[in-house]
Formats: sequence, C-alpha cells, structure tokens
Amino acid sequence: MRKKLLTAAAAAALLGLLPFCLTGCGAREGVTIGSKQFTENILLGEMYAQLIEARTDIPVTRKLNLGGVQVCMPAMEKAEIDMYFEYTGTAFNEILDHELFEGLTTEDIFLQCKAELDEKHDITMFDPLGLNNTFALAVKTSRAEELGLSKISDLAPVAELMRFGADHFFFTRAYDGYDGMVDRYGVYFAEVLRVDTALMYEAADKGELDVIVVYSTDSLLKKYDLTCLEDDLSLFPPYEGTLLCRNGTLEKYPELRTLLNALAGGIDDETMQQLNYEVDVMGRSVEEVAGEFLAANNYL
Amino acid sequence: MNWTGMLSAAAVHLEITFAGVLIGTAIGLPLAALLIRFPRLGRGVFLVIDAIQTVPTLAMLTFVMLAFGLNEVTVVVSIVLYTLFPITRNAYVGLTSADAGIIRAGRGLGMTPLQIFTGIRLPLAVPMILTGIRLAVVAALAIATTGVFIGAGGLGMLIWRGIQTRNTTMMLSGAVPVSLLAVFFEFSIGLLEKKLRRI
Repeated sequence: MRKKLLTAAAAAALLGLLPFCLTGCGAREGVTIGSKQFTENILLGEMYAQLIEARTDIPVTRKLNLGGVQVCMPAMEKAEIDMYFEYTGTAFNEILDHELFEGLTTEDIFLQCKAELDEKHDITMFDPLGLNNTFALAVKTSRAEELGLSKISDLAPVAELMRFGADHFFFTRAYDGYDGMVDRYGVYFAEVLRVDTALMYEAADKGELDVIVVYSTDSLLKKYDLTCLEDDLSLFPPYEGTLLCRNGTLEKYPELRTLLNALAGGIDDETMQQLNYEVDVMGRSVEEVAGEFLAANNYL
Repeated sequence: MNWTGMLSAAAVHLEITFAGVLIGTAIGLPLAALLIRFPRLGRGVFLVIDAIQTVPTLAMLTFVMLAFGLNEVTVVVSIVLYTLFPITRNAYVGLTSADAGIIRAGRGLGMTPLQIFTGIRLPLAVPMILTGIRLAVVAALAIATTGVFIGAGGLGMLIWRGIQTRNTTMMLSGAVPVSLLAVFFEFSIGLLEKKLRRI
C-alpha cells in the first residue's frame, strides 16, 4: 500500500514538472512587451503590441500587468521583456537614482534620461507621447474649500487632522514618494494608509480619506469631484510618457527604430484620461480600446 | 462571465500550486529526515527557513525571477521556498515525537536505525506530515495569485484586473475559485489526516 502511494506521488510530481520543462526550452522568438500593473500602462503596452503586429512580421508576446518598475527594469536587464512604457520622472528618480531636478526643464530631464539610459543600461528611450502622468495630491473639492487648500504647503498646518492614502508604490519611491513628501512639505498626517488606486477615489468621495495621491491621467478624476493641489515646492518631476526598448532588440529588428516613434506626440493628458475612462469606467476591454484608437488615428 | 477563461486560469493555478507543493515536499521531507540524523544542523537550517518566510512575496518573486524568468517556474520555485516552513517543521516534529518506549522496544527487537526510522518514526509521523502539506497547499494557493505580477498565469490576473477596473464580477471570478479550492483541500486533506491517525 505504501509503495503504491509513493510511486503515485512520484508520478504526480513528474507530471507536475512536465509542462514547465516544455515552456522553458527554446529561445524566444520576436519581441516581448511588458507593462506595469495599471490600466494606462497596460493600454499603452497593448497599443504598441498591436502596432508591431499590424506593421511588421515580428511575433509579439505580451507580459502585461507586471509589478511596477521593480519588476520591469530587472526584467529588461535580463531580456525577459524587450520594451515597456515608462515615465521620465520615474526613470530620473528611480532608475537613474537622481534626487534633485531643480533648474532642469522638462526637456533637459528627457534628454538626460535618454543619454544615461543608453549609456548605462543599453536602453533606448523613444520620444514622449505628450502625456505627463504626474503624481498629485487630491482633496475632495468641498473639503478643500472648507479648509482653504489650493497648494500642498497649505496642508502642513492641518495635516494632523487628516487621513492620507496612497498606493503601495508611492511608499517605495526614494525621492518622489511618501518620504520625499514628508521631507519637503513637513506634512504629518493623523493616519497614513496604503490603499489601492481604484479604491482610493471612493474612499475620498465618502470622506473616509481626506488627502489621496492620484495620477494626473486617472480616469476617475473625471468622475469624482476632486481638486488637485498645486505642487508649489516642486516635489514631483515631470513624468512624460515614453517607451523604453532594449538596444539589443533594436539591433535585431531595425525596423522598430522608426516604428516605435510612431505614437510620439500623439497622446496628451486629456486623450489618455479618456482612454483610461473607457476601460476603467465604461468597462470596455483593453484590446478593443487600444485597437480602436490606433485605427481611428491611422496608425495601422 | 468568461467561463473558459476562468477554467483555464484555474487549471494553471492548480498546476503551479501542486508543482510547488510536490517539489517542496520532495525537498522538505528528506531535509527533515536529515535533521533527525544530524541534529546539530537543525538550528542553522531552521534559521534559514524562518528567514525565507519573512521575505515579502513580491520581493521574493522579483528575486527568483532574475534566475528563472517571467513565467510560472518562478512562482513554483517561490512556493517551494515558502512551503519549506510548514513541511519541514511539521515533518521534523512528527518524526521526533515518536514515543520513546516504542523506539526502545524496536531497538530491543534488534531493529537497525534505518528500520526504526522507516518502521516506527515515519508511519507515526504521517498525520503531522499531512498537516504540514495541508498548510502548504493553502498557502501555495494564495501565493500563486501574486504570480500575475511577474507575468505568470493563474487566477491572480482575474483578481487584480478586477480590482483595478473595479469590475467586481471579474474579481470574484478569480477570488471565489481560490477560496473554494483552499476550503476543499483544507477539508479533504484534513479528512485524510484523521483516517490515518487510527494506526
């Protein structure tokens, strides 16, 4: 009886391993597109995937919904993905590890990122799409009016009465996240909570949170009546949206050098918000919205 | 309600869970046996196993991903690492808790150390080992949902996309199967434990 059980267990173990041996073998063909784990990034990842599929013969694998820059960058370095959509501010602070951007214009930051990414990481940063997806501290409009808040520094005296919420990633960033905010603005909130972006808006609307960290191209900004406070002490750098792609991939498929710039200047904040809205609020699929946008603007 | 999508995701999820737990058992049980033979290694080994337990799941996945890539294998390896804790500890306790009187009787009958291990310690440890496996399966089912963040399949994608787009139906279509599976295995392995306790 025991022998039968042991052989059964061994057989099950081997069967369990089999599928993985099969997927692990063989070099990967074509390009793999990654994305971070929020709608905008997934949408843009899908757009580039459809763009490449429509305009070239290159096979495309999608690895969307990865866990932030902490997963995407190591994956790029390991060539597990060939490209993903990033933001200049994040590249500047998180990837290239520069703390201060005083005196640098938006264009300066883009050019510096582009040069350093090429030199230090062997990655090409393509031209910005036009959108600037920056962090913003938002307060329900009625509360903002009640307390006379229009700039983030207005929060310092009243912070101890307020509850603050931000997503997990805001707390992991060294300079342009929670630590930087407390340093720069001296805001000490009564309660500090980690909340998922999707749930934050409802919480702020219901008064369960007073101050939340939002992204300027969030679809839900259209839906809820929130006021974004002015970043008067320049905590947040610009976050122009651009595609990052490994140089190795561009050498292998030179046609991508021009193709991946196709969307440059083509999507501004308003447009991005609208696209996000169609997925998040109207519940349409990412594939549909991406495809529709590309077709309507003659990218295919 | 995309039933085929959900079922194929559930299949991948189960595959990942069981591959992880089976490999974890294949490593954890011999490891526990080894610690019976060489007790002085115990402190060091358990220190490492306990330390692994404290690493946050996403950090572990990212770290393992550097070696195994953005796929299910990374999740399986991570599950193996996390399940060492319930499996090895439980097996160790089970194997060491055989009644001293029975062992003395065995020695009196002329049993060799190996025979004592396979004839006395191991059969008496089976319920404890099964408890460890049961805990491992339930933990593995949960860990497998975070695989989505490193590009693996499974029910995690449904859960996270459902949360992000505030699509409760999608979120539940991922979360409910995971919960049902956890309850099912908790119950059935528990039943097996009870049956085998009557030695």
